[in-house]
Amino acid sequence: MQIHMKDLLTKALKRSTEEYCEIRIEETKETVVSIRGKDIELVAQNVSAGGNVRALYRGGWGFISFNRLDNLDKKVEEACAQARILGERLNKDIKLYPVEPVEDYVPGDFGREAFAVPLKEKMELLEGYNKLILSCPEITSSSIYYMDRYTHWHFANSEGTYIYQEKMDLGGGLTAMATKGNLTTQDSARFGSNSDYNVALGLEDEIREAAEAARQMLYAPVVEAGQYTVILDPDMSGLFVHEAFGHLSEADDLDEDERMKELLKIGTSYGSDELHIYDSGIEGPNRGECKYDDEGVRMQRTYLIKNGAIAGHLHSRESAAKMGEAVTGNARALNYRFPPIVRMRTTCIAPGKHTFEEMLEGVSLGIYVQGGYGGQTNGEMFTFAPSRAYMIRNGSIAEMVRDVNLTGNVFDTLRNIDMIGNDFVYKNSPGGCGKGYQGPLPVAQGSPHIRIQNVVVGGEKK
Amino acid sequence: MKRLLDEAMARGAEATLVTTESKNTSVSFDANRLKTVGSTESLNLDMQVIRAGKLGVASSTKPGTEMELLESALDVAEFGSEVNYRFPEPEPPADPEVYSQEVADIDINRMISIGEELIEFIKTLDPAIQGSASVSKSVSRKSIRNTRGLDAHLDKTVFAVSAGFQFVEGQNLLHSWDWNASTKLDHNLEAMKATLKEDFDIGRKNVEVRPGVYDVLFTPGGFRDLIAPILACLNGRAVMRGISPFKDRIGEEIFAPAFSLVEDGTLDEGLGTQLYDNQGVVCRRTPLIENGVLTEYLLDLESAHRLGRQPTGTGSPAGASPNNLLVVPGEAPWEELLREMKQGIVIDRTMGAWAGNPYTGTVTGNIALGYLVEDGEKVGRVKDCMFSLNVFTHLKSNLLALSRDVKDLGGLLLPYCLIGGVSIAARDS
Repeated sequence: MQIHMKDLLTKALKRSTEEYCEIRIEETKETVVSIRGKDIELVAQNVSAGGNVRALYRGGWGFISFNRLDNLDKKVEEACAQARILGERLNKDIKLYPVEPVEDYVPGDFGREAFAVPLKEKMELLEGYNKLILSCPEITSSSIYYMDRYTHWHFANSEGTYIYQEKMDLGGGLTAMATKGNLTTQDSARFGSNSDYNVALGLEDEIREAAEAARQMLYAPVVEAGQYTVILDPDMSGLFVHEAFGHLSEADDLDEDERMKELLKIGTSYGSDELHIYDSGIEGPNRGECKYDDEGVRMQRTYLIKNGAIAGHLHSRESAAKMGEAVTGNARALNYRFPPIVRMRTTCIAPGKHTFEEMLEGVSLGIYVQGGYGGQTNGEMFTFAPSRAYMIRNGSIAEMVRDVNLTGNVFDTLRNIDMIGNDFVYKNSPGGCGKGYQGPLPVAQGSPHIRIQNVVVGGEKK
Repeated sequence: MKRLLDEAMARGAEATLVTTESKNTSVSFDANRLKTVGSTESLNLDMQVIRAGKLGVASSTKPGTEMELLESALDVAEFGSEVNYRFPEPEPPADPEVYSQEVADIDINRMISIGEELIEFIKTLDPAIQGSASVSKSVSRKSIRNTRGLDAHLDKTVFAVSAGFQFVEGQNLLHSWDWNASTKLDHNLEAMKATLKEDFDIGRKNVEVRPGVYDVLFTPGGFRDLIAPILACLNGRAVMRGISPFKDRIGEEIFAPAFSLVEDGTLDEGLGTQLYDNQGVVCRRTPLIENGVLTEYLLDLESAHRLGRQPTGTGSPAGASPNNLLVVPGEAPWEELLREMKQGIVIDRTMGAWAGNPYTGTVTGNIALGYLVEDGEKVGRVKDCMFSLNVFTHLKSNLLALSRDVKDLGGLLLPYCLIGGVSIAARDS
């Protein structure tokens, strides 16, 4: 199959007349299960297969995607013709960062393969979780989501690279819902991996904890709006670093904007000496990590902040060449229907030296937030919402509060991180990143607890 | 296809096959220059089968794999949801206008020149501005067939134009963009330019906002976040499971009389218009909230059956979602609503407002692009602050006005909405 595909792609690329041309072919098999309350809502098996050709000429990209894999030669010609239409108008000398051609076959280095687990076994597991959720006190409904994907990925370019890569993706959320009168609250246990079905097993304790949090939330007051000292658990810190700094480091938003480049110049200080942030595709079994990105570039670990100062940016081959920095393996596409853009993989804050108890000390009024529910950024500002939140009063965790959503300004907030914990946890969840309408793209985070001063929290003003 | 459906019946199953084929062509501009011409040909085959009272679902993008798809759907039906419905017999559909030969025929050079016009305009705002734009056309055919005789298709075109900018001054980042989409070759570039210019002119001046309670004029883009929890609660599946606060409240006045919400899958030129939903139920116009009174839920076949109601042509195997959703507009132009504000805030774009629990009705988000209003004028941009309100109580007791102007945000047609008593949290000065 691989040999045949290599020959097919290599032959088609001979039709390329432009500076650079690449072909990506993918086939993904997916299983999706959704259970709501007492009902199995959806069980589906899906196949997504197709490819694309991307060509560059004098600064203009031509891109075509397709489901039918016949006539690849013609598709290469079409993409080249599109690139020529643009290139002749633009006439820009835009190069790609040079990468040594490589031929590689990367079979999946998987633990327990999700696609090899019979559907019957998956259903028994999920229905068992569902029964457990529904048996918890004051829980009135549930929502279970599970998906696994297995992808064959072929990539070839006009520089002589051919790579075959197998990928796996797995994620799920196990949500407990409690209803009292007109109020419904919810909390979830979540899991994800790029290589091992077994992460979906043995989640009973997390489920009980989520169900108890949903129950307690029924009686929790809405948070009072204001400015607080906030302690983030590792899950929330991971979401914070993704939204608050990761996106700003994606060089395809910087590479032609001189003012943005100045703002994010290497060496500019935005935090304390203790702050180190990196993005990596080689940490471990995290969603989104694999050997090569969607331009055939090896993934690696890239420091974005070292000792509080900007240390690097995330790149595609185009942005790296424009900024004169090395490639980082961050060009990623949601699937064959999209060209690659610069995306994060596993984004991390390195552990510091503080204990959780030290973080609580001296906080007379604050909030402790747990579990990254979701976040968003527009570059300078960001939001992040936790699954659970508790007031901190006089250095101790106090009552639970609900409907908490936090915001910050990127440039101020990094400076306002005054403590970094000595713990560190990777977090994999079922969702993903939504940049450029290409979502959800699998990503992961890793972080210790962190403490941030002066965070604005939305809510009612009493 | 008839052979496929015959095979399904021979295997003791009912079946529905939805086939969507589309061709999309786009030109995109980034950093003030043309960057990519792209075209996407796509095919989606979505199969549903009901066998022994259980639903199996499978999809594929591989041409010519319909028989494999049937096998896959039959395999998963063994573990699928127990359903109490049959796929429907065909009912005559509406005849909506959603196809334009002009859109199908527009050539790439014309699309490039539309984008160039927008980029050239953006560049006139400031030498350091970074403009982006995209122009796309889509031509699609959706076909639906089932084992009870349904066999229909609808051709549709969509033409979309968007433009925006990023402007950096020190540590201030200003982003603005505008978007127009239509089934026709219909785009108002001058209105887009005016929006971008106003955001550039006023958005560069930051003003401090004090924490407190304000009247807020939500633009259609800002208003969208307030509709999301209402939609979640109108969903028949949420009602059926008892987690929606709208359960058992049909006929009750749950919002202010000025607020009416309609689902309409038959709308001429509607971006979400279709003949039948993905379960084969004919699309129709369904008032959901009339003058503040809850009149109907969004129902798929299963939730309609369980709730003892009729499906609303909004179904899919996973539940219900609207085709085109309209908030019935008010009387006044939006500029008049702005002029009448003594002191307040305009919220045009939000961030993170989706990240709450929709069933509580609380919406809290960052004001990504918003302006302080004094004596009917926008006086500057507010930043680093959060708004918070409860949709259920604010749209019942604090709804001050809806504009007569409506914007189509992609099957979601919304006016401007003026609401009182919105909590604003900001940094202590």
